[in-house]
Amino acid sequence: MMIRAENLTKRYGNNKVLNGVNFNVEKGEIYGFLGHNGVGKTTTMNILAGIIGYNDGDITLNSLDMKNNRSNLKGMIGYLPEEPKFYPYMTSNEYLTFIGEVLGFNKNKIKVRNKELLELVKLEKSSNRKIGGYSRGMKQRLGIAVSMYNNPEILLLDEPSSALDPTGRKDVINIIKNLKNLGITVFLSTHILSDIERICDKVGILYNGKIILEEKLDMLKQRYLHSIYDIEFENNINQETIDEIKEDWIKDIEVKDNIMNLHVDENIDSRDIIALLSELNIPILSLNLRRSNLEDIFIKVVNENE
Amino acid sequence: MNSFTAYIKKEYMEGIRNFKFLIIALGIILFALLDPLMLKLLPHILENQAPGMDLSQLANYTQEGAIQNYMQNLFQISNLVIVLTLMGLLSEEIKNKTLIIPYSNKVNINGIVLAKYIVYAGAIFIIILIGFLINYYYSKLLFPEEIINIGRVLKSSSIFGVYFLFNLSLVLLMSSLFRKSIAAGILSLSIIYLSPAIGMIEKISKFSPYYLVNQANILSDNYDSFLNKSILLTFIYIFIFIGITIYRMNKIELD
Repeated sequence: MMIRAENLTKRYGNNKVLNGVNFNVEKGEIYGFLGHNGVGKTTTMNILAGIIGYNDGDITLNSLDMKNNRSNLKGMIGYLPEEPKFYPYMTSNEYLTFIGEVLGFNKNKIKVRNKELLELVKLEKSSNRKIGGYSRGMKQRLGIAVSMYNNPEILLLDEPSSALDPTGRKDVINIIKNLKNLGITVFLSTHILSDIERICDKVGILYNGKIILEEKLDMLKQRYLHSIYDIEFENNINQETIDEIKEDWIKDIEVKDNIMNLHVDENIDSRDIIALLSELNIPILSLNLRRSNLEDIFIKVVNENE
Repeated sequence: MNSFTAYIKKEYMEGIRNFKFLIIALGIILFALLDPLMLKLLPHILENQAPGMDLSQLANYTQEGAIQNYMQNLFQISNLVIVLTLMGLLSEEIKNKTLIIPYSNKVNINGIVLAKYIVYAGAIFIIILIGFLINYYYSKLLFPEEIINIGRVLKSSSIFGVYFLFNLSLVLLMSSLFRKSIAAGILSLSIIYLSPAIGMIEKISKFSPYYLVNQANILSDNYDSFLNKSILLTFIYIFIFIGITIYRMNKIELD
């Protein structure tokens, strides 16, 4: 196990931000850490990065206990904060050199590493421009380069693609995909669910200071993903109509005014739905099929825990 | 040691690129030039304003007077410039979260604090020395009648330098205590400008770093016998302040 958190607790005064958080991340895995804004994702990331302390619980990183090895672990972990802040008067090359010197690298090693990383994050052409003039996406890419400077085995990425334009997001996602090929364990915090679906192996949902769901993404899809039919009736739907629908293959029914969302088994197709609707004998305006996604799973799991 | 070296270079770069060294130099050296000139012109200006008035009572129109005027301005105005320029040394880094990446990269906090102190201590000490030398030569040109020994001026500049090193450690400490640099600046300036009041209480005046300003103003070899002890005491204050700053920075949560 590369990252293990057991019963992690963090309080700010009387406010308990993390209330017994548990998760496990295996070596080489990309772990998607999901949650609403302000739920404690960044706090968890800062704790894992050794930036802030915690009140209770145990954290093991690469088999090393965090309490006793906090300073040793810092060099093994790469951390990209949500909004990485650099010295604006430095160029990216100078900033990477500064980090290399902090880490104790010699001049030659710094030169080689700077070149490798600037190429990886596609900043080689802007390496001599002041960071103050960089776009948000460029800063994010520089942040990734900095977080990888020490060849970390574990990379903590806090909202790496939030507030980026589609091109910037795509670039960052591609870089993270490449990290997986390098065998780096990535702990990725985000609230952008489509990013998680694209790159993560495992997902953990943080809610009310606890992990309410942790599962491999493919297993999660098997368990939760299903078809949803959105049916628009001519008039508002009453309770009697809903009560008439008693098929075993219907997993859930959501109704709002004249719109009904019918969650059904995977093997059900439109013919079964049309047959069901004709039995109801109510005029309909439209019928649409959509596949549920991680967003639906997230909302469902959170609603179940409310 | 790695962090210390890296931060020495970083602070040096910041001092140049953000014009901090230049602002401090202007705040110190400008008066080295202006004060002798003002003292030279003052009798002529006042003569026109109040004809027949005995102007010799108003100021000491000698090189010594010019240098003493300069020291007065160093205390009143250069302190202000130094504090306002350096009040964000740590607080701006904490507020802007620029320390998060170095902190997550095994940075040594002692190295950060010491590097910041040493870079600006060196700069201030050198600039003060230059300021005194410029003031000495310019005042020598304007008041050639009674030339004082340069050794005395160098001694005074060193004593003043030690006093400024104390003020720097004070600003650094305040900057670690507040996230808003203006709060650190105001508190530092309050302590600095209230310290002459302590000087009025005879029993404790020698234990205040402001005592060094009084001694530097003497500009002769007749320093008080307590001066060496006072310098030593000021260095002890500096070590204590830096120690508290390091302790504070080790405890601070950067989120």
